[in-house]
Amino acid sequence: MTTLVHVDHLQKIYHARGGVAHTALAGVSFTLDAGTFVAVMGPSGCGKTTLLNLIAGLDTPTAGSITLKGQRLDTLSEAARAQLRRTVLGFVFQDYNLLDPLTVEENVLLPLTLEHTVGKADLARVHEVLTQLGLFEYRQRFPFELSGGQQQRVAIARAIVHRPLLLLADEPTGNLDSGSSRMVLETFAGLHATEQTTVFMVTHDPFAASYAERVLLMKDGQLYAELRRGTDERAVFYQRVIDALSSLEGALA
Amino acid sequence: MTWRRLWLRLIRRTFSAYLGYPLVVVISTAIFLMSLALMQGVKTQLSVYSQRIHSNFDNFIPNVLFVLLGIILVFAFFFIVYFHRLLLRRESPALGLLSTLGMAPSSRYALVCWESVWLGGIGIALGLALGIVLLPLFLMIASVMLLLPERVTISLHASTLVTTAMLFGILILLEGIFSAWQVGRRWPRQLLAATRTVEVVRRPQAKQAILGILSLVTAYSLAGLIHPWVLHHITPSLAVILWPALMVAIVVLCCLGTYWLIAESLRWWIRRNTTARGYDAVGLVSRARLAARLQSHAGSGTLIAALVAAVVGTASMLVSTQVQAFTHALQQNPVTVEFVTQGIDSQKLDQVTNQFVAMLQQKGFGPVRSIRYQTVLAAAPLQGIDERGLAAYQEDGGWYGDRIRGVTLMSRSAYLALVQEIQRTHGRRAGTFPTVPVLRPGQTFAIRTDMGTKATVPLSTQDLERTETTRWLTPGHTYPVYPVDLTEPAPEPSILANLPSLQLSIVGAGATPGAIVDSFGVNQTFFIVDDQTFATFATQAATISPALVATYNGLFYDRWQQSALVITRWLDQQEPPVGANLGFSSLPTQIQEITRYISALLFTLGLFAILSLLAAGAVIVFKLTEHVSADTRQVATLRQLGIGVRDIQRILRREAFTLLLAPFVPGLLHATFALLDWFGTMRSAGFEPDPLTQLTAAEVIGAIGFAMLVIVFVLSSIVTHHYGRQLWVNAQRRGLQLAG
Repeated sequence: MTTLVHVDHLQKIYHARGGVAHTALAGVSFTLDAGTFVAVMGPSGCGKTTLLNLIAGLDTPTAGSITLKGQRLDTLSEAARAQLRRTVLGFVFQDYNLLDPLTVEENVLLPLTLEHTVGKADLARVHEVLTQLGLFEYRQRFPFELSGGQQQRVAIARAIVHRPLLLLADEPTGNLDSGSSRMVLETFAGLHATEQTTVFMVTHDPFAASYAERVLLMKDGQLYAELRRGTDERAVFYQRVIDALSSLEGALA
Repeated sequence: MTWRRLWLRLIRRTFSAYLGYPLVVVISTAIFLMSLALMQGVKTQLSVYSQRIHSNFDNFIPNVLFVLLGIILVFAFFFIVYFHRLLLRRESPALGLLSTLGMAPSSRYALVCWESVWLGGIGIALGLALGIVLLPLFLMIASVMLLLPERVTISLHASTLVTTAMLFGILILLEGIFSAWQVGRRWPRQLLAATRTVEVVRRPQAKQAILGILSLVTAYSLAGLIHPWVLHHITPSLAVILWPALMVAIVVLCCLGTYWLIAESLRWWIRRNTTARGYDAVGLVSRARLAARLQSHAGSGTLIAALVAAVVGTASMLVSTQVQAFTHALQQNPVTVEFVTQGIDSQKLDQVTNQFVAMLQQKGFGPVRSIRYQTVLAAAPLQGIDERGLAAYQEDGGWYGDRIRGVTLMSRSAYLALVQEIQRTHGRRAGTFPTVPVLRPGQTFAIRTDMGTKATVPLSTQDLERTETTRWLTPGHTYPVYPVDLTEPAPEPSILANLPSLQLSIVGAGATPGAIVDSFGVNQTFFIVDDQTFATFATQAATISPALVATYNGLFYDRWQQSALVITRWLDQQEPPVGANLGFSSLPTQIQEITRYISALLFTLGLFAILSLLAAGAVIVFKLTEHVSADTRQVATLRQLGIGVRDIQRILRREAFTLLLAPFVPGLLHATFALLDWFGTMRSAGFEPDPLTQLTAAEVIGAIGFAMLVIVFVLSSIVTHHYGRQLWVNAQRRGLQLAG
């Protein structure tokens, strides 16, 4: 298996007004192999979203490095990082971040237009993805005309339309009911299985994490533990995640 | 399909959100174009006009308009930058998303720049078109308001259009480039984070709340007591430094005080009221929300209060100055229009007067009442005359000024008729005139004019004024009066020896602030005598010198102020308008000059006020709508808790009204104290503002205050309606339940 992401002693310190420093990440190191499904868990403020933002090149680390597809992000210009995001990465946010004035079809088309002038082939690809996610009939609707689960699936469609190597998801089920959450997670699992897409998902939901092959547990900006699903059934892995979380909460208390 | 096309679709579908920025460009461009055309038109007009009549006003008004253009540009810049920032803030999440999806920084830069130029360009084009359409109306209003000699002709040169287009084009391009640079250098995470506006509400600080009130009290004390005193009660070299330094201190204290008043004192009072009044749900929510909003509006509120103070203070100062100047002009020259001849050529006088009366009536200023009256120039020695007679008071053709005084004789009936007409035409501006009792032959009532008194001075055993000039006006004493003009060289001793004289006993004396008739000569003392005595003395004086007797035709009509321009033009066109021995009252032209100066300044101030009001309204409205996203959830929660739609509307209306009103109240207070400072400074300089001036200034502040209250009420209703709609639309999009 090839390494897609290598995170090495990553540190991020935020300086608030009045000179107060807050350490969001305190030396995190791990690697992410291509074609894996990894979840990151931990209590609020432990640095999960910061880690995701840094991997995506949306922010700069204070120290340490991230190597994405063989390229160290800190050595790249913003234009080169944007190029990487455009071609290698896909994003799914907790609050969908769809553009309300654009239709479902146009929202999904958006990442392709950033790369090149889109033609019929691209439109066909958009339709294919929308069909795959059960949204084809809604393609001319506006996001606010859809349910939360449907909007999140549009966001997923937008994230995968350009066939990214790495799909980054920040609390993708945070705003959804259980039914919609299950549907979104099944979609991730399906993409991972069929397209070999690498999924890196930040979540606080053990149920969502149980869909992953590997779960990284974070505490106070550091990796606290790591769980690998191995050959376990999802239900068993779910229980293991819950136990690990209990142990983490005990440690926090 | 490209991202640019998708972005265009996005703009088209949410065009109302994009309307503010181009609309501001349209309005700014149109106003600037019209003002530039006005300035060019006025320059041309005045250059033609000043070939006929030279006036300082010819230089003044283009300068005022130049300042006005500067003000418009500053406001235009503020509006354009502010609205573009608002637009970018609204777009920030979308730009953040595009960056996250991989949009290159150069594309992001190009997008912001391209959008600014595109929307701004449309705005400029529409603004130029609007300016061209509205130009005739604008010039007509400006001509009337600026009291220009003739209506400004519509002369829109290509250079005006090109200058406006280029100026605003550069402004928009620079703003686009600067904004693009700002957006371009931000990290995608920062742009995305702008979606979540969190309103952190601080607890009001007692220390700052007290400091706010103390700052205002100190500023007002300085303005009312110390600042005016400084100018004339300390050494000039120190006053030159201390007076402006104190002015700056007052302004700074007022700004700080207003900020703390809104941000702390008012919030503290509201929060205190919340618990003091018990826990009524609507009141609780309303006051809690208001306290939070006032915190974020304190900065803009202070700015608006400063603008209100500047506009209202300056307007009331200008209007009161105009009233003061009017009153002064009227008191110095109380008859509206008068023709005068020094001699007996009354036929020519009547001819000119009739011609003029006909013109006034034809122009619609009539009916014109004409009063004819005469005065005789005379001299009265201060002490008893010795054996040398009047010759004792002259030397080398001149007169000893400290021992002999010039007086003007006037008949009682002419005085009464004149005073009655002056008071009827000018009302309370005309001042007060002493009441003259019925006089017997040999009796006189002495009136001193231009005494600087506010009311008539009654007869008393005391001196009228403790000066050499008035000591001789002792009631009961008799003085000889000779027909002599002290401004002319003394006559031959033989003539002096044979001068007729009157022995006049002073039965009463009084004073009036200004002249009784046009101050023809330098005599400031009037001897009112009975009609018979006057007729006899006038005949005798005329035989000595016709110049001693002045015959006046005074004209009175109600619309005298409006006639100033017509009179000036009439005089300009007549060749010659009046004969060599005829004089003409300068009052209308004085009034015209005053009105033109003040009108020009008020016109500038008015435009400044309108622009300020628009800016203030825009800032408040957009600050309110900034929180619409967070508010939608809050309002939905309130609905779930059982608060009715009407109650929510009430909360919003109360909030908008208070937020809009909050800066106006301290603004008006500041203006009042600025005015007190102004009056104090005038007093300190020896110019006592008369009661009418003070009353007018108070009326101006009251009127503007009332107008602002109405504007705030109307604006708050509009804002509530608009904000309510935004909330409902936002809720619908998020699937939140507000109605029902």
